[in-house]
Amino acid sequence: MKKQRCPAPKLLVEFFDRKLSGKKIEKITEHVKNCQQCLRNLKIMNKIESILSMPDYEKPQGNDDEDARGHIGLDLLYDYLTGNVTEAEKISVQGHLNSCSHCYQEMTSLVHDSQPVPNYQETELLKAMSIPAPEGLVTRLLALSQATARTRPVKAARINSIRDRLADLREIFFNWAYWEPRLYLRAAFALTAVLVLFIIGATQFAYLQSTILANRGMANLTENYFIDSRSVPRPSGGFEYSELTRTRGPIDHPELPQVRSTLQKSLYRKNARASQYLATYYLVIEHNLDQASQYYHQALARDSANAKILNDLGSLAWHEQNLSLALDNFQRALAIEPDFYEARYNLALVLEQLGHFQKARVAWQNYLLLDHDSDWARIAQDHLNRLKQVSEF
Amino acid sequence: MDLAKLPNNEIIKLCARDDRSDTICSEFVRRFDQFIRLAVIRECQRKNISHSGAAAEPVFQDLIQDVYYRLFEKNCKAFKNYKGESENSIFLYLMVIVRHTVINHLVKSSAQKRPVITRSLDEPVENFSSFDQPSLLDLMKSDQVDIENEIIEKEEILYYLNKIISGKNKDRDMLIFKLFVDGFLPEDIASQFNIGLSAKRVSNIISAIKQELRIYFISHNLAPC
Repeated sequence: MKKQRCPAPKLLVEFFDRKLSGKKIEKITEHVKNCQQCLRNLKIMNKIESILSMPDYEKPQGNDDEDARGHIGLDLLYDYLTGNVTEAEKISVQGHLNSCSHCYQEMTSLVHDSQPVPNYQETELLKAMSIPAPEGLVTRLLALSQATARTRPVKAARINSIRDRLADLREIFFNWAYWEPRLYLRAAFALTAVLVLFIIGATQFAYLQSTILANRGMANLTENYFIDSRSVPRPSGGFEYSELTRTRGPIDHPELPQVRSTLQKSLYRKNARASQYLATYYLVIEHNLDQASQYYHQALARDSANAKILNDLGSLAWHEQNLSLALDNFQRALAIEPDFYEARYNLALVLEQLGHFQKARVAWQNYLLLDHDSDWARIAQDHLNRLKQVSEF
Repeated sequence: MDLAKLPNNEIIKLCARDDRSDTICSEFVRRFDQFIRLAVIRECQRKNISHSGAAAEPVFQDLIQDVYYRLFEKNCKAFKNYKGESENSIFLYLMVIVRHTVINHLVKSSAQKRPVITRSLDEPVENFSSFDQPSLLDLMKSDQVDIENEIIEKEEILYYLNKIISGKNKDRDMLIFKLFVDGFLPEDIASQFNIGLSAKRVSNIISAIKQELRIYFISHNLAPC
C-alpha cells in the first residue's frame, strides 16, 4: 500500500481543532493511525493544550530577595494599568513585562488583588480579624492631614516654584522621552527652526546677491567709462582718466545700458553700496542729477558714516554748482578716511576753484604724497605748477 | 446631599478638597475600610506573612493604620494624586498604597511556588469528551506513541513565543498570551491591563497564537527538554 504523505502542520492543527470536515477528516484519521510521527504531533498538541488550559490562577508569592533595580515601580505600574502613560511608555512597559517575570507577576497580582469582592476564605479571615474601627479615627485623620500639610513662606515658595519650573523645562527640553511621542511638538519645533533659518538665510542671501550685482555693475562702469576732464571732481570707484572719450560720448558705449540694468537689479533695501553705485551711474553717464541725488541720499540714510558716499555727494553738489556744499562733503569724507584718494583730489580741486589758492596748493601737495605716478598724479602736478605760477605773479 | 449615592470617584474628589468635612471622610472610611483590610490580608498572604493568631493582629492593626495615614497625610495628598477614571480604579490605587505600606514595614521573605499540576498532561483534554469523533479520542489514547517522557513546560512554550510572535505589536501580543496562560480571561485582559483592544480582538489574538504555537512545535519537531 502506498504510504500517504503526512499532512502539512497547518492541516494537522486544523484537524486537531476540528475545523475540517468530511473526507479530509477520514483521510487524516486513517493516516494518523499508521503514522507514528503524526500521532506524536497530535499528542504534543494535546499536551500543549493542557498546559495552556491550566486551572485557576495561582497567586505567585512575592520574591522579596530579588534585586529591585531595573524593575518597574509600583507607581509606574499603576499609571500603566490606568492608562496614564504615553504611547512610548506603554510600549516600553509592555516590552519590560514580557522580559521580566518579577514585574509581570507584580502586575498580575496587583490586578488580581484589586478585586473588591473577597472570596470565601478571605471572608472568613475578615470575620476572624476582630480589629474594630478605632473611635475617632476620622477626627484623628483630619487632624493629621492638617498637621502634616506643607507650609512654606510665600516668597520661598515662589522662588522654589520658579526653580522647579525651570528645572522641569530643562528636563523636558533635553529629555528625548518627552519629545519622542509628541510628534506634533517635534514637527512644530522643527518647522519653526527651519522657518527661522530660512528667513535669516534668505535675508543674507539677498544681501549677498545685491552686493555681487552692484560690484559687477560698478566694475563694468569703470571699465567702460573714463573721466575726460581735469576740472571735474572724481566720483568714488576708481574711475580712470582718458582724453579719448571726448571723441565718443559715454552714452554711445554699448555696454552701458546693461550696466544700468545690472545696477538697478542690485538694489536692495539694506544695501547702501548698490544705491550709491546706481546714483553714480545717473550722475556721470546720464547727468540726471535728480535721480543721482535720490539714490545718493538713500545710500547715506543706510550708511551715514561712509566716506565714499560723502565724496560722491560732494561731486553731486559740484555738478549742482554748490561749491561750498561740495567742499563741506569732501572735508567730511576726509575726516572719516584721511587717505581717501578721490576725496583729497576733489578737495584740492574745489579749493582751487573757490580761489583759496594757498590751501589748494597744500591740498595738491598732500594728494601727491599719496599718489605720484598715475594719470591723476600728473593732473595734480599740473594744477600745483599752475598755482605756483599764479602765486609768483 | 446623600453621600452614599455618590460614585466612588466623586467621594475621592471631595476628600481631596481642602474644605473636606468629617462627613466626607467618614463616608470614605465606611466604603473602603473593608477593602483596605482585605488588601492588607492579601498583601500579607503574598508576602507570606502570618495572618492568623493573636500575634498577627497588632501587625495588621499597624498596617491598616499606616495605610490610612498615607492617605490622609500632607493634606490628603494621596487623594489629590489620584487619577482614576473608572468606578473601580480606586481599588487599584488603594492596593498600590497598601503595597507601599507593607513593603516599608514588613520583613521580606521569598518563596516562588510553581502552579501545582493536578492532572495528567497526557490525558486527552476535556474538550475531547464532547467530540463526536470517537476515532480522534481513540487516537489520543493510543499506546503506539508514548510521550510520557517528553516534558514540555510552560516556560518552554513561552520561550518559543518569542520566535513565533512578530511585528510591531509583538510585546503587546506576548503580554496578552502570557496573561491568558496565567488564567485571565480575554475580557479581563482587555479591560484591566491597558491593552487597548476589545475582548473579541484579544480572543482572536490568543487563538491565532495558539495555532501558530502548535504549528511551530510540529514543524520543528522540537525535542523534549
